[in-house]
Amino acid sequence: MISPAQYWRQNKEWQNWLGKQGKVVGVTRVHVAPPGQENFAPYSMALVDFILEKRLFMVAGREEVNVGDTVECVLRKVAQPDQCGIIPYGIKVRRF
Amino acid sequence: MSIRVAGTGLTKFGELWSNSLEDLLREASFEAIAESKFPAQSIEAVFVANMGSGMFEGQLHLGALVSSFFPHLPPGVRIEGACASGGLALLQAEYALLSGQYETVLVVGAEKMTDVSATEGTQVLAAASHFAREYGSTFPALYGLIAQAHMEKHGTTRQQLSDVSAKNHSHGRKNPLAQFQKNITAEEVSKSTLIADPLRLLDCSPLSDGAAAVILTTKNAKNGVYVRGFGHGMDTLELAQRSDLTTFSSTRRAMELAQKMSGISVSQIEAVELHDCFTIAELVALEDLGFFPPGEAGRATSEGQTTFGGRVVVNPSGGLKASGHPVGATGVKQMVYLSRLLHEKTFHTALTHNVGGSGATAVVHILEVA
Repeated sequence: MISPAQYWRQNKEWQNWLGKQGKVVGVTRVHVAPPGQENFAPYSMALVDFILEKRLFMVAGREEVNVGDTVECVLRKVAQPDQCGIIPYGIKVRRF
Repeated sequence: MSIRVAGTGLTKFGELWSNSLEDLLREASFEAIAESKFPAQSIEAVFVANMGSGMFEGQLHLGALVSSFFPHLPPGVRIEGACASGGLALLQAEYALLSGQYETVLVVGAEKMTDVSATEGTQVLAAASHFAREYGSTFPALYGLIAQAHMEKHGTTRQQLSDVSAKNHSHGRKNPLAQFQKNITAEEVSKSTLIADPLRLLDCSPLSDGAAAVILTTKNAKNGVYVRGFGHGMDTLELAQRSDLTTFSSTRRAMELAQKMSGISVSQIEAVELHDCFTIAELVALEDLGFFPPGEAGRATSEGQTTFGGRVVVNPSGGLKASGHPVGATGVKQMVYLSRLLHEKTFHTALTHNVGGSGATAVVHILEVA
């Protein structure tokens, strides 16, 4: 669960990531998802090399990406709405 | 000054509906005290290992909870380092003994995980990763990435991962306190449900209840099991910050320190209880501890080098996979199980390896029977 304050702090980071491209260096397909992400499963988690740093992101939708693919950062729903009433959005990646 | 394991206590691991966290802590603690033959009032301090009692049961302040078991109320403290909480609590107790502050202390680790649903349990465990920067991932997903990297770099195979699980179940079958006392075949592991590619259900350790305790003392005896060396190492909390996913700098550093302190080299170690939270974790650990060169642990496992009659007996208790993984108890249980085998002279020199999260914390202990 993301609290409203956590969500508000994360929002400020989005502009640094949107549209950014990187190369997939590792990927796993999550078949059993954590609470809040069950409706997305199966989805992929991609370890992406953005040259200056590496980050682990969820892959948008049910798309499968492979090591070596170029991906770009997009804004997507990252969890089901919880009891706080927030519809949590965040950064995911998709094949470029 | 040397530290001796004077007593050990271990509960059954598994889904223990009739035992509360407090019941488990009490059972393991008093079994260890009884075995040590020390009077209860000789316990000068208690070190309690636990990861998530605040989230699992809304109970914190475990140092005071365990201290209250004793009429003389010894100083109590709770230590948390995810799944390495047990190993870290042992270390804090050892530092306190070596400082000269105490001569005899109790270390007890426990976790009560099955009062919540598996989904809620997974969420508590996920708190051991970086919440914001690894959002959407699970522990199997993080270790899945490690497994894929290991397969790609070293050619580790599905069969080798399955062999780890089958071997640990065959060991667990002989441990009456293990959560699972049944054999499984490598084929069953390879065909079990996919959790996070390439890891399957039977690659993963279970959610468990259980507790383990040791009495550590600097009062020496002619015979007994001694802690000869220990070490504590770290890697980055976030997997993405590592340059190589196939090795944990935490384990390598902890092993280096433990070897240096003990003067015992890896070639002398006959048995290991190591942190097989997932099958791939056992292979990475065997390589980082120096039992096999990088990339060779999978083949060695399939050849029978990690069971009785091989190079080193790995996870004689059944490991986390078959024996169970009540996270706060695990690091202490490793020392309990090996101390008992050393006491029976099944082995003379043994090692424990306890990891927190996806490798950020590692603790190594080297034990020897005198």
